[in-house]
Amino acid sequence: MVWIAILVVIIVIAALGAYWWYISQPTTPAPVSKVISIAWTEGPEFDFIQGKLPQFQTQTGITVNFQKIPRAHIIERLMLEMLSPTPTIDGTVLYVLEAPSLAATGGLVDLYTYKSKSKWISEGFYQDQLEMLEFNGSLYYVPSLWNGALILFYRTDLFASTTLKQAFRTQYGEDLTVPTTPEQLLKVAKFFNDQGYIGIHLQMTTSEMGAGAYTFYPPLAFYYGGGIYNDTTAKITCNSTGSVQALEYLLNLAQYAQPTYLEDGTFEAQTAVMQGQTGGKQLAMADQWSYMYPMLPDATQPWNISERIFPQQPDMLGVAILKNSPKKDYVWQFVNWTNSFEIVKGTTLATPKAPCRSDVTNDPEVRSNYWVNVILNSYGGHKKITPTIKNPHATEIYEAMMKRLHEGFTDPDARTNPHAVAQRVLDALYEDIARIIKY
Amino acid sequence: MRKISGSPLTKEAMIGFLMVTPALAILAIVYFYPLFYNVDLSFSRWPITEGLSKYYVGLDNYQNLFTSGDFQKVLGNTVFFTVTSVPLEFFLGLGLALLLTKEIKGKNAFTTLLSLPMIVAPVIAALAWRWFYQFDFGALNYLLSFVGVKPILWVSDVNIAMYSVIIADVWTTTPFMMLILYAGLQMIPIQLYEAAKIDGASQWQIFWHVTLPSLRTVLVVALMIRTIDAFTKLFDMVYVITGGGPGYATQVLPIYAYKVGLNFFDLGRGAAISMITLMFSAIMVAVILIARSSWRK
Repeated sequence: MVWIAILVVIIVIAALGAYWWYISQPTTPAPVSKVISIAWTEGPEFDFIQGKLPQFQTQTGITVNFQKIPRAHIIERLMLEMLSPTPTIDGTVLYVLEAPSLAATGGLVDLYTYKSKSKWISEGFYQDQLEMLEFNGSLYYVPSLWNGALILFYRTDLFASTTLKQAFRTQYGEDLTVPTTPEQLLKVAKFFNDQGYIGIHLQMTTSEMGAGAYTFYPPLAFYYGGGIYNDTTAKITCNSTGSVQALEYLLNLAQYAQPTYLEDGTFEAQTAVMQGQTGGKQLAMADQWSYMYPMLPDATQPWNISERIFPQQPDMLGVAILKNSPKKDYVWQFVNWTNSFEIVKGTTLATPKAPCRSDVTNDPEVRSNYWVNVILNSYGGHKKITPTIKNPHATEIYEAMMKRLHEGFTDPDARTNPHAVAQRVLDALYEDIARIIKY
Repeated sequence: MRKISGSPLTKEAMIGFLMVTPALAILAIVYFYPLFYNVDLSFSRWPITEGLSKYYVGLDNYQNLFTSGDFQKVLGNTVFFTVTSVPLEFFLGLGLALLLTKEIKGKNAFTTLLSLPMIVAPVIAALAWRWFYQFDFGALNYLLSFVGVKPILWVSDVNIAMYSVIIADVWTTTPFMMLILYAGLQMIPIQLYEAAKIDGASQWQIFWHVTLPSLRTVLVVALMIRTIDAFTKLFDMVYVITGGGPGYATQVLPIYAYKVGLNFFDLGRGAAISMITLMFSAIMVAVILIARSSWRK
């Protein structure tokens, strides 16, 4: 019995040793196949590209395999890929907020090595959009995917109502019009709220990065001359006068929003717009993504859209190339194709969203859509796109910001003394950022 | 037992030892290596997002955590969750298990129904709860409206969100407690109850002096498993229902470790959070074991 047991152990150890020896043997590099693997996600634009993919494969002889990963989890997978000497992913979709962390690892290919900045611009790419994605003079992807814009949705029936118009004139001595400045928005939202409506639908959740409060506070702080953190000067600006003013404004505006403004996600927002009401009250306005525009004809109430009142953060997604991939040149061909006129036009019309190329904007088919100017003016036109923090710690800084904003929104004094609350939570955010940067 | 010459082990012990060696080797690779690697990582900084290599920082990660208000809040949340949910699950599970020992009509169907939450995948259960708690369309607010209760912000009110998660967790894990205690109750010899009845013991006295002491071992095991689970594995329920929010109201250690390690890519601090989680759960288990031995005396 002892001998059998010893034999079993010897066999197991020998098998492990043999396997170890086998995998440690240097292998002759296999010829690089024309099959590339791209970390991919889901959405109308992705469906459009997938539909067009046979065209690309026929033209180039490159086979593209999409590895579908929920977008929020792509970065975790990528970090592991970048540490791996034998990556299984050659390229990936990448979001603007995650780009600084990945760019700082040095694991992404600079697209300017394939095509110079001037060449990109001469091909029609918007310079401001490219620069939004530059890190230390390098470009890692182009926003050919997403680029959704936040715009103002308003109820045409309410803004045309004689009774409401008269009431507004009586209260403020002026005409009821669709607001164009933050101050007007506050006034109009308050007016509708006083009339028994939900003044404005805000999606201000603090638990979803890239959406919710993240889409309000930084651009508004920027609008009022403040900020969060300045990468160039390494100065924390989150409790500057403009930043405090921005939060104070949001605390005031939130009073006229739906009670679930800190909870609602995209589904709830979409439902509220489509039904024209939320929580049993009619909705007057909504700050929402441009992709909802094509749904409006099916809404139960009449809506129209106009420019967003304040600027916004970039919502940019594109395809980046992993430096440790042996198939970088093939991935570049795919990247170049996804940025082509035809594909950008298709993805722009599929959502709709802001195109990243001016030739797509000027295309008659695209131009004929009412939403084009509204979106572009809200996203880089009249309203400049607010730069994001380009620091490896950006995600942690934004996370701290969301946490402190939530404290502000739920503070019992938020309505009675918004300025003091804003100052207090932003001073606390200053300490958080100082700790993050120092650590 | 024959001893092998020159060895302190008997032949049977030696065979046993050799037999388990392959399994131990595999365990060492898949369990102990990551554990020791995690310990090593918790004393280091590895700023992968800055393209730098790993270096040792001693106790810096731990010091940083214990002086961080966020971590203290998260630790407090996790302890609160554990000390609230585990006793709730225990008492509910014990009550249901005692109910199942009675001869009731349709007992098997009742047992199956009560066990259903345990069968459902945690993520699916969490999704169902998320919809149940939804403010506008959720079934809970709808049902409460019939008794005149105004809609409640179940998951976005900082004062309510943690209780919402606890309720969902209790719903999911009480069947486990119920089944394990029910199995324990089945093992108590009927003669003990008969003897107690002959001695004139009341129902309460029988429960206190016969049932509970006889359940001791099962009870300790059940409490230990659930305490460890609640403290170290509370991820899916919170992640799906609240995502750790609103603010940090339902942020718990496993989610925080994930966030710091894989969202902020601070692997050293993430590893330190995991080690602290492990230490705290070890302390909790030790407390249960000490309580058990003092109970025995």
